[in-house]
Amino acid sequence: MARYIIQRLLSTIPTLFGILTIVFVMIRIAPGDPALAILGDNASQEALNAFRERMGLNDPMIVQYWDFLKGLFSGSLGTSMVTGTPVTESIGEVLPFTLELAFGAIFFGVIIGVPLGIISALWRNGWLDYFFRVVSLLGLSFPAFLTAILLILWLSIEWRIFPVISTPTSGGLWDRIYNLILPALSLGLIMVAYIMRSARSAMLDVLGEDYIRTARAKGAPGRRLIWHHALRNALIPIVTVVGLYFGLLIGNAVLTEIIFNRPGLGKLIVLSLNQRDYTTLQGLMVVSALMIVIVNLLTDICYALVDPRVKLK
Amino acid sequence: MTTVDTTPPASETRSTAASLLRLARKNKLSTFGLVMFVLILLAAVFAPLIAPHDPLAQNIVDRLQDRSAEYPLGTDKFGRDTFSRILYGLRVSLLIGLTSTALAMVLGCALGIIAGYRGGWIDTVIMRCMDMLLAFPTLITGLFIVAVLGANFINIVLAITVTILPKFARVARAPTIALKEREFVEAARALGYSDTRIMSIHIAPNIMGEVVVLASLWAAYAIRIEAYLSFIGLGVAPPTPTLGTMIRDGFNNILDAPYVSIYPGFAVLLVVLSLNLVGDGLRDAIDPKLRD
Amino acid sequence: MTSPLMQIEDLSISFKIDDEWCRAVNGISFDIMPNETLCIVGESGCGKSITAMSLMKLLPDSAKLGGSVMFGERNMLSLSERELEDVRGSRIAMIFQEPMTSLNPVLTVGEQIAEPLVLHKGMSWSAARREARNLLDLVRIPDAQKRLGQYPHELSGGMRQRVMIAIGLACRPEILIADEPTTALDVTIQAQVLALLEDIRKEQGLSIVMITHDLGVVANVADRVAVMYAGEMVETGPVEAIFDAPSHPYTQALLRTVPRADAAFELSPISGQVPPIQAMPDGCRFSPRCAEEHRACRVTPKLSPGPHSVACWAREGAA
Repeated sequence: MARYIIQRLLSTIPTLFGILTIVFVMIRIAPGDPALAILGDNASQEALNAFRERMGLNDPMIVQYWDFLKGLFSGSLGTSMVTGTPVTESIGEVLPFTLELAFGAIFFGVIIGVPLGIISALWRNGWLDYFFRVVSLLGLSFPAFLTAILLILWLSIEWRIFPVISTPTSGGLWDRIYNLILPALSLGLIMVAYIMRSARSAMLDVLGEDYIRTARAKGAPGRRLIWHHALRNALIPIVTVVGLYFGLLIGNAVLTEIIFNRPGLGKLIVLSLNQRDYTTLQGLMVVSALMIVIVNLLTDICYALVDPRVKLK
Repeated sequence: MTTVDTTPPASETRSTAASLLRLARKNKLSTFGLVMFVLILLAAVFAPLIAPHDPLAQNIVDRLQDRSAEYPLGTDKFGRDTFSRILYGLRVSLLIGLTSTALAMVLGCALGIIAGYRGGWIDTVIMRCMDMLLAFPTLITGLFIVAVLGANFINIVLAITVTILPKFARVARAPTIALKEREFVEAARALGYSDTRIMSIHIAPNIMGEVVVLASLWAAYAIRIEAYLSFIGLGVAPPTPTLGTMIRDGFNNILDAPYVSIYPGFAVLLVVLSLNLVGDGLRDAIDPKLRD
Repeated sequence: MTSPLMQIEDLSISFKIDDEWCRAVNGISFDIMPNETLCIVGESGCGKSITAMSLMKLLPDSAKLGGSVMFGERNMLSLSERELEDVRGSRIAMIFQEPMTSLNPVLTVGEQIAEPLVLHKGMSWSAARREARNLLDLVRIPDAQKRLGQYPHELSGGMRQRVMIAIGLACRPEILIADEPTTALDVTIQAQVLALLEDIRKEQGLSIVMITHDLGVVANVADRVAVMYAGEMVETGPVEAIFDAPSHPYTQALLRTVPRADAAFELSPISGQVPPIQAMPDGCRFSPRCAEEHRACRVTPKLSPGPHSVACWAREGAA
């Protein structure tokens, strides 16, 4: 298992390397002078030069690239152009909040989406199925901010169940979870739609399989057919969908964080955008690509857990 | 003498048209989606004729109003008419969304067809690049490109195009590999037609069905990305109203005047939903495996 | 005389095709006797598989069933799903054509064999697993203890079909329905599996209903044969009678399609094709392909009474 994980991580190195290069080059060819952008038009020539020197912007591009890679190997993403703090530090500070949001959303997506998808499949072409399919199509089309706004209006303002602004830093574990629920639900509703659809079609596929007929011929009752014989097989494509849409989820998490005013990658991205903090932005890109790589790996490991035919070799 | 028929089988395109007709009768939802989309498109095109107010005209006295006869969807914090602004915002959304989808479709398909048709190292290089683009969370790719290059119409279109282009390349590549082994392609090759001609005349039309379905679904996505970008503050420059910006601006008054954000939000929802309805129905019609 | 284990009376199965009900099986009747192997033969699409499935009422809800399938005092076709679950796998078991896809890929062999024991005999899982080990021995799978913990993809095709048989036999059923159990297997494995089924039937005294299109299989294992054509039963009788003195023109034609050591006639395919289910001819469904003619061919013939019965107007004794 450990060997498999290491091998998988090694195999993504070429892609990661390419990604790093693209990010690096894009930042350097960006129009505008970062020194000027950060220090402002009124900055003196000396100040600008000192800044360029400090950030290594005067070096030839290839030297900068080499420094960038060297830094990466020692686990450094450079220092922020604006605050001077190491980028890894500022990202590390907020990353857990984005991760807990993303996994909270997947949790809601799965616990709501899978049962609805199964019900839809079992009542195939019935009115309930039709209703759920329309709802899921609606869910797919909902912009993340609209879901968030509506949830805030209903659950926070109308019913006063959850806080309007999610402040996960205060209080203990329970407080943290309490603050997570609404944003995670809001983000999770997007996942619900995707998971519901794939659960429905996976379930329909599986229910038509020969082994389900075998199980019926054994006299297995309906409940057992669905929950024991069919569901584990149907989970395989559902795992794929969750993995596949993780990228989408992270993108939407950024929006959700902004709306709920939660700390996280989203707020950091917007902050560094506004401040033209290119090194932090560069680090954020690297980290988000790395996250996708790790999630793909986790997806593969989940496969092996669900499907005995898959061997981690 | 034997004549070789090198025309691609027309039956595939014809059956697509036939199934579209069948679909319109059978799948009322996607027909509904199409009608909805056309109406929205018309509303956006004829915005200057329909809009009751100048979308930029401020009227501080009437700020943050709810629906009324004067302001069908209320006003924002500067007293601008939300309904008129939505109509003009839709123009931006649709223009950016559809342009970038069309660009991504053409470029992505071209890359996918070339990769599939040529194979070998060209295939490897193209698809590896696509994988790299896919390795980022989609919204973040767009965000990064716009942030670095600057927020204007062209850069936003470029960012969205780059984001969804790999999806088209993938979809075009797989059937190309299958098609290049088919008789009519081999015959065309035997007749000495150039690869460019074979790819554009013999292969491209045959994969269009699937691509068009994808296009409608990704157009929905592109429109959403545009809204997200402008929500974050990376939309086309003010004062041009965009739906995302309207939602963001209204968000400051979410407690006392939630409708300022909600109506533009629903406008995004309607456009995206209409395209998803169309795409969903088309996909069911074209891919029999997904049909019930 | 022994009474039949199961009596199928005027069974018909219809499916809706393009908004029209089509009779895939058209009023067939036959008995299953204790401790016998009954082979139902016919070309693919003649309705033999759905007939087999309907004996346990395993067909999807979209199928409309008529007639009766009497098992003891009860008509299988009118039992509730709950009552059927009690019978399925315990008193009647079924094994299927595709051993590759008929086992659940994510459950261990042990669990799949133990399941009917837990469901029907109220055994604990550990007791059922011990019994599963014995069943693997019974179906002659070596290394049984190890196999219990394996997944279907780790077994060969022949091995999987043996596992299917073990599942079928778990609760000592009275009837085992085998739907083309050897079609997907290599020829050598086929013979082994058939021999195994035959041995087990003799040991355990159960009845096997074997669905097949392979007359070689029939000759090997059958006690009695029922020949189906286009959803109807055209001839039934003891295996010797069917092979030595086939009566129905279709049976005769069918036998001419297989090479035999003692064959006095040339090998010849049956001319024409089975009519599509939506356009079945009136009366005898074989008449368009039949060399013989009778003035009554446009009326559906019924099976004649007696141990060797035939449904053909041109035969003496046909009613």
